[in-house]
Amino acid sequence: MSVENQELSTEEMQDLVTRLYETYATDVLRVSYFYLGDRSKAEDVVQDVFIRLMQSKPQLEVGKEKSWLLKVALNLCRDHWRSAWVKRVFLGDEKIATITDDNDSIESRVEKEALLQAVHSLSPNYREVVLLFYYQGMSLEEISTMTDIPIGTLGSRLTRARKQLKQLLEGADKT
Amino acid sequence: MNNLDNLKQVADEMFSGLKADEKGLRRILSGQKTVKPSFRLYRLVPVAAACAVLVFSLISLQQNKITNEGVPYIQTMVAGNGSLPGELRSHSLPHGAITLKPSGQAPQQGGLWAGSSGNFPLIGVNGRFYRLLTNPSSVPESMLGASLGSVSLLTNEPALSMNDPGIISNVVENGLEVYQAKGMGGACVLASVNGNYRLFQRVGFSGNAVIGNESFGDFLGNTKVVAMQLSGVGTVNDGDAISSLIRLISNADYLNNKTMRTSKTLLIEFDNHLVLQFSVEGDAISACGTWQAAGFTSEFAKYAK
Repeated sequence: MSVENQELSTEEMQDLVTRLYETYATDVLRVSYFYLGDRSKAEDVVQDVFIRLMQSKPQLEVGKEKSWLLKVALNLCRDHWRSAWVKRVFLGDEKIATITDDNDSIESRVEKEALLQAVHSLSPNYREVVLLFYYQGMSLEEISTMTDIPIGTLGSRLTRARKQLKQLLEGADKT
Repeated sequence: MNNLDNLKQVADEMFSGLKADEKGLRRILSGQKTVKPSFRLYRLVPVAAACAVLVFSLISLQQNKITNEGVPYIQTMVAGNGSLPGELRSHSLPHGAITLKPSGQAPQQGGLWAGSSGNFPLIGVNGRFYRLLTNPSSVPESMLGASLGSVSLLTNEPALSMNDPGIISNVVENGLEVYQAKGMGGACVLASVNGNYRLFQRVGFSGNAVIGNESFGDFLGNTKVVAMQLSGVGTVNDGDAISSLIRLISNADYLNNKTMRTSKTLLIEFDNHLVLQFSVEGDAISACGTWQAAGFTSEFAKYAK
């Protein structure tokens, strides 16, 4: 079943955008931030995703709205990531900062930050699949449909990503 | 916990402060997106801006030649952003130049903090953040306390490096030492900016404020307070009244890790002529996190001249 968004009036479209924003925008923001490590760029991505939704009025299958939003968001993240190539090469990769309301113990924070930092430092292909699979809880089949990448490729990326993460985290433990 | 199966839980927890807000939705619905120029045009913007500044400067110089001939003027700039040593700066006054004496109504706002953006001039020392004050323009070396170490990372984006161990800054050069200020405990630090030792006050930054069991008293220094001024209310110089007010705010209750932006400030002058600044709204006071000191404003008004 799909929602024929082309037929929605402006008011109905605004209602749909509001509903989807309230339900998924925070997820889109966090995934984008996790990908980019830059809050202002992640906020730009969220804005662009929902503006694109309003303008292009895609046919969204019920239950697949989040996939669509994340797909567009990741495409935009890739663009931002590529455009910041020069900065990254010359200034080095910046660490991802946590933005938390909680007061955690330092030990616990350090451990959690190491995990986030390790995921953030994976190459974009590995990072994407880890974010979608482990962070957003999507199955490989769903990710495959969303990204048009064969399940086998996604599976091997996930395996390599896990291996890299293990090395990164073991390295972090030793320091 | 370093397990991918917990990634969702960990990420949600560590990014809990990151939420899509109503403002963003309103902007999307009203189509108020910032329209970025096309690639080529975008690349040309800095060049065009530089040309405009050059033309404007030439015109200004020409006009100054005609109208300001023989009239002395002071060159000013915002503290912390300059690179020319010896240049005079707005609000950068010699050590001890600001003294809080009762002389009618206290001014509306002190405005001693340098920089107004999120990335104000700061130093981060192992998770504690200190903001540059515009006053004094130079602190005497005799006030330097123990060294806390030297800046290991000079960065334009301190928020992204705030979990780094060591000392970071966006204004103090790499390798320069950061010192405690004698008698000021953890309230402030001193470091060299453009050749002069400058005062940096402990503040909240990017969600980082209080560490461990710190109380508001920890941000007030250990030396004697000689005056307090609350903008729009007045000044208190009496020793007993000051003791009572300091006791009151030292025991304030911690509200949150935010720093309020208010039009009211509390200036506290110490006997070493340093002046610290705090934002005030009702009985809430902030610099390093926001604290509630019940009855503070009314008590202050009672003593103020």
